[in-house]
Amino acid sequence: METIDPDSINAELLERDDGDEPPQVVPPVVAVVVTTADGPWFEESLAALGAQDYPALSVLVLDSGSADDPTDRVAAALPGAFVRRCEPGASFAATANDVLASVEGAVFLLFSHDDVALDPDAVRLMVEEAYRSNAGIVGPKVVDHDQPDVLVEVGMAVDHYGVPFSGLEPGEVDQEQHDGVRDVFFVSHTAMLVRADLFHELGGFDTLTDPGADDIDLCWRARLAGARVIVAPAARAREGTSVDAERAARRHTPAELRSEVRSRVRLLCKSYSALALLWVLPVAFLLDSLEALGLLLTGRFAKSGAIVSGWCTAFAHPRDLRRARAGAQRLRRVDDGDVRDLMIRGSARVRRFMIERVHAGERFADVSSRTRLRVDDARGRVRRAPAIVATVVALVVLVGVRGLLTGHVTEVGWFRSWPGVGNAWSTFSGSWRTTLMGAPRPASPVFALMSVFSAVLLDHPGLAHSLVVGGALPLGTFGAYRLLRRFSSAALPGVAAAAAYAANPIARNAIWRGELGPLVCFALAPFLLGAFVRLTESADDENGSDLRRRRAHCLITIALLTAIAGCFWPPAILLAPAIAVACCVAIPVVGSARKTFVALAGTAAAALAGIVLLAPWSLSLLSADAATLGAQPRDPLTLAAVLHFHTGRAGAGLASWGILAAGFVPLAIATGPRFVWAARAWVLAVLSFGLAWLPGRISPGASTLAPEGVLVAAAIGLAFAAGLGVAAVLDDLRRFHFGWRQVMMVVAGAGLFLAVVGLAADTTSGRFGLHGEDWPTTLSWMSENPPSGGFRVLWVGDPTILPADAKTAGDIGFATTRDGIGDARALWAADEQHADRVLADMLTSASAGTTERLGHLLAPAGIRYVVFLERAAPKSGPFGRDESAIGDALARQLDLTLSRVEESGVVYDNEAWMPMHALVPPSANDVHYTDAEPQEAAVQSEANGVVGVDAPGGSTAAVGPGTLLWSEAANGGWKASTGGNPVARQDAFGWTNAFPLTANAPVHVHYDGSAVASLVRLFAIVLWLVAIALWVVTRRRRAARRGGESAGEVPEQPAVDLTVAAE
Amino acid sequence: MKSRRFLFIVVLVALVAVGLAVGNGSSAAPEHVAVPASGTNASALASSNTVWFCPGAPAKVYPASAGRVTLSNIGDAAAEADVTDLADDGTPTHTQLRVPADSVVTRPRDAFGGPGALTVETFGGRVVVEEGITASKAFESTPCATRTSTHWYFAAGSTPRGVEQWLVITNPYASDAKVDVTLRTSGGVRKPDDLQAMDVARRSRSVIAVHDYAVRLDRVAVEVDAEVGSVVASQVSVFTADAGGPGAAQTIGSPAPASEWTLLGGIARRHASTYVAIANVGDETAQVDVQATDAHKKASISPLILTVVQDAVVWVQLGECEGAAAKTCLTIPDGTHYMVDVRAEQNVSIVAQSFSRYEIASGALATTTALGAITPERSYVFGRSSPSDAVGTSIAVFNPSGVAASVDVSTTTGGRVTRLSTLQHVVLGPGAQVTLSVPRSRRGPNPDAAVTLTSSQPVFVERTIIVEDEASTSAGVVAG
Repeated sequence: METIDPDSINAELLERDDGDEPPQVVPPVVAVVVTTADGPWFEESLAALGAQDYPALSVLVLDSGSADDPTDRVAAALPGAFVRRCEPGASFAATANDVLASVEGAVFLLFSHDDVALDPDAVRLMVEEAYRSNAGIVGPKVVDHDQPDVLVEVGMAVDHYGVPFSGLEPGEVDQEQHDGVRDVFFVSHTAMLVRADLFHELGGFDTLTDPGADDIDLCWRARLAGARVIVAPAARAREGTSVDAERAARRHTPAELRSEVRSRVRLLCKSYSALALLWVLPVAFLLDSLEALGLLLTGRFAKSGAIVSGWCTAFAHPRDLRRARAGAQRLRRVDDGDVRDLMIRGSARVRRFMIERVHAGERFADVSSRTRLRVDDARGRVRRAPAIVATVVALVVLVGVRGLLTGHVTEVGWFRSWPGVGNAWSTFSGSWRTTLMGAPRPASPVFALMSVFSAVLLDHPGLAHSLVVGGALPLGTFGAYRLLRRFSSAALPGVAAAAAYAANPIARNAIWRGELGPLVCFALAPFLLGAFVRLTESADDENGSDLRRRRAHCLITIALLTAIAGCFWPPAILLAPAIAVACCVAIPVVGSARKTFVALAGTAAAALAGIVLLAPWSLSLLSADAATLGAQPRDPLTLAAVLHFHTGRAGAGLASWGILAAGFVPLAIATGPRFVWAARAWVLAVLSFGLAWLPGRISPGASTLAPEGVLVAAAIGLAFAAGLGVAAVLDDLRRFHFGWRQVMMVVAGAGLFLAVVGLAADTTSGRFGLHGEDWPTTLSWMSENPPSGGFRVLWVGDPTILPADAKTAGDIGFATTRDGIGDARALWAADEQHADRVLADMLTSASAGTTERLGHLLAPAGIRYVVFLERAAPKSGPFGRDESAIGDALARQLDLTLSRVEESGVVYDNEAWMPMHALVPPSANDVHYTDAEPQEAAVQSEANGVVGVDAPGGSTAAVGPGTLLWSEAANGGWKASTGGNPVARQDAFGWTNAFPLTANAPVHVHYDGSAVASLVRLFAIVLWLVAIALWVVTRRRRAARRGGESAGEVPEQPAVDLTVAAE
Repeated sequence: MKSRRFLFIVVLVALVAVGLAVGNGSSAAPEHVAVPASGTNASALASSNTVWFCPGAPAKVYPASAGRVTLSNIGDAAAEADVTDLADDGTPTHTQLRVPADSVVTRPRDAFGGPGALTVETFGGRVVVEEGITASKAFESTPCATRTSTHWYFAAGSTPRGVEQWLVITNPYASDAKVDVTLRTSGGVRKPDDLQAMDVARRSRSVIAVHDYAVRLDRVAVEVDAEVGSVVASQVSVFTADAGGPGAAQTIGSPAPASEWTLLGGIARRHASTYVAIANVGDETAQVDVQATDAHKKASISPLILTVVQDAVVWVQLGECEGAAAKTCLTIPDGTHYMVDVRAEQNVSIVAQSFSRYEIASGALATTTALGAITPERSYVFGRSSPSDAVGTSIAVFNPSGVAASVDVSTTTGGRVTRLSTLQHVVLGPGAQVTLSVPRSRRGPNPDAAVTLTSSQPVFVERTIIVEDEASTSAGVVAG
């Protein structure tokens, strides 16, 4: 054996004649063994190369400074090998780079140490894999020389700071657990097959990154150049000294440590983009500083200094460093982001410490694999679980409202008993609204709905009322479940959404407070959102006609739901537009601008149609006061209370935060349309939170909407997101390793569970705290033995707790009912009229202490009782705000007699009251009804001699002569006639009506309403019928289409808007 | 999408963080607008309609015919008055009365019905209502109350032989009231069972002979607390010949205690018995400084510092200290015009009331009492100044502020307002007191006139009317 001229290698390697077989062209491989020839395994290593079954393998032994010439040893072990003696003491990299000049024609270069023994098929397998995977660099599986079942290396990773990390535990047994071919960040030059042209393009190893980072550097630059670095575990190599052991040995001396730090810093400076360096270098420096500090504190001063010195020496030759970096960056064809995918997060040193010292890696791997198994297993199980979970949620909800569904609904707040079919319809169709002092305004269409619903139930308004109050929560829950059907084939997401929605405290608080409007809004919001979601869909298989029909159906649904919710609670008209606006706000995050704006326009049109359906009542809202629109003075909520829906007795604990946590999951893990809708849902929730919190924050004394209503949007948004999160967990989470996502999922699941437990805990009463006596029951005696002429009851206190729709005088709420405790007809009051303002001024006067004759002032309104309330019900329900000023003022009135004292309310008799319909005989001179100034007229008027006049249907028995007082707000529309002859009307007391009667005769009094309003109402009724018909028609055709699909056509799958995802 | 997701989450978290940083909505709810409290314990005349509560004198001592009710309208418009007599016999009587603008109308009490409390509701104008006693050796005229209260306090009262102490509690409202009466006496605190949870029926009054519950006691301070409802309380002390000479002293109580009281209009007279009664109604022992100031020299007279234990009542003699216990007597030279400041340290609640008996020109004994004032005001009205038998009427004015006050006094009667030049722009230096004589009106048949006093700075005032055989002292009505 002799040293050969490298130029001679080329020809010999190209072809090999194998007898009869046609000559095969195999890529020539040159195995480059860098040796110091002082190891015990050198010969074995050469022999292994000689035993390779790869036909075109040549071996070049590069001697980097052996004490003795190794040529003889090489010749003895592998006669065909070439030996080249290099500069003594040169590093591995410098020695290996010799091939750049000495080897030509090789397609692959196989660098290896002199203590590495390759299995006979290793080279072939690596070459084959290089071709198969189109890899630039291929590494084998490296095992221990003496214990071949112990793994040493199967590809390597680095952290963001260039520290290598193998991921193997010390002594990890090879059980083929790593036997998949995969991309790795780098393979060490223990055995490294490199495409020769790539090696040349890269300029070989960077000698200044040796020791410790030369192989990392080569592979990193290869990756930047777009080449793959893979490990082919089928190819195996046995190593006499493990890489880690070798590196650990290198770090034994401070000089080596300094070199390694220098190498690593150089590596970072070369390989990262400039932007990444801005954060990588400081963090790397910080970590090294911490290590140096640790070493310093433990007395290893030299090593500590070596780290610092390593950093300094790395920048000792900036020009060279800049040149090296320019060379590396010149090769760049991929972004840092692609390179970082194969890096590990955190610190490799910490990980290595954990793995080496506490075997955490095994545990991590175990947990990770077990988690995956569990997730897969759970995924299988949860396909069966939804039915159980759904049943549990449904039972909890139904048990929670059982008392409301089956029993009397406590008349708190707006849960006033519903009038019968006839009374409700006449209220709807009447021209004169009978709330407070009356107003020439149409009534809310809610009375028409009451009438129709009660009629359907065979004139059982109580049952209808119970079904609406008790059914709202179940209906909303079902709506939330249905909402998610389009986003997952599994039922569990829907169940999760239903649970999150049902567990939201706002529904319970709405029930507790008697907030009927927000409760209805809560029930309908999921359907509204569902219609909006369907509106934005664009299934490819739909033809134009079907698409138009489906969109029409959605728009009609939105219009009808808006109308229904709006007539119960006017601000609900804005819910659908709010959803659309939220989607628009989310455009920067999720895109899909064009479709979203189209949906916004459609939704606005549908909401407008909803407003038209509510005409003429909706028109009267245009100039209405805040109270008519549902805004009342309320104590502001804290942000924390808003965020966890703590608007009343429910939601005070931590459980409600779980809904927020559950809703957060899809933002982190969902992809495609699920993420899109999760983002939109969160924007909706944030808007809702803002609307619930900011007004009170900005102006604490201002009137605000019921937070239970405003937060409905947040509730459905978060429930929607929670459902999407579960869908993502089922379908998307499997793609992630064990980490924070799984932890977050568990936290969110626990939170959701807690929220449901909170709901369950509230179900014991079956009424969500809405129990006990109510004011109408307690004060029902008022309605007994009604006096002739009728009377009013004035309710005073916090406007949010009064059992009638209240107006405000300052922040004092007041409302009236007629002939006793009244019913739902006292709700949905007309906008404030002059007469209502007069009433308010009187209360303000009393509260300010400027009158002690409030009874006299109220007398023209027919107010017989004044009820001051501090709580929504005598012994339960929410307390109102402190209204002690008016409470004390009422006690100071000379003409109000304390009639009844309850635990949370006081009733006063008005000793100066006059019946609503009364005759003032000519002899009664103390009634100054002709005075124009209301307070002056009333304050000295005495009701002596005034006689109440019954007027059923506006007709009286024979009365007169005298003056008939008609205690409705003064309005020229009031007409009276006697014997067919009209009676002139005049204002009484400056705010009611009077009809002078010259003779004793029956009188008929009626309000002559506007014919236009009646026509508009009729038009609206027709519109309702048309809208319902269209809704049914479009729905039926969809059903028919579905029927066709089930008959064999391909069903539309998936239902979600994939085009959105694509965008 | 990945970066947008991250950005979105960051924005969400930032929104919450900003929200929490801005505040957790913890700003307090707006305070409710309360009835403007004048802070004074005096009656107050509202700018429009006002209700006056006049408890009246005990019928057993003074028949209704001895009573007088004066309605003085200082407004530009005529006023209507609805007078309701809550007669003790349970038969209320309503009387309507017209009070012309700028005029004073005085009616004998029995013109409105039998003995009982009166509720006077006025409409239009600006009417001040006073009630009083005009009998042989008994004269009183004091403003009626413009408000009811759940608490009333009196400090000066005594029940030695020949002295009757009457408490009149009126409930003008349509609902029953329930009151507790506490007597703080020289013999300790007494809460007679009869006077606990005592019903005061709607629109009625209860007349309590305190001397029957606190017999022969030198010092009796009274507190009335309404458990239910709201009432008005007045006290009448009746002196008979057995007490050295007949006389009467009437006053409406103070609806609240305070830690500092001002009593003015004092004159150190020979052979006079002048006291400041101090009752500790607080929760702890009070260190009380009693400081008299010479009105002319503006010099402080050596103060007296007392320890008044809880629920105790102490009488401090003003002048004539010879023979008196030095610890409870403030030496004031004869003829000195003075005012007295009573202050409890550490804000302990006390009540201070003056009580005086002195000889007047006719040789008769004048008996007067007045509760101290708590807060100075800029404008006062007195309903009357010159009863038919008045010898002289004076108004003491004290300027407690640090800057000079300019005081204007006018009288109103017979449809006219008179501003005497001598009573215009009377300048009071800081801490100065002046006593102004109010001349009898020479216009019209009724010499009695309402007196209006306005000042550029808040001042304290007190009116003294001396008739031939008696005198009366009272605070003014605050004109809002």
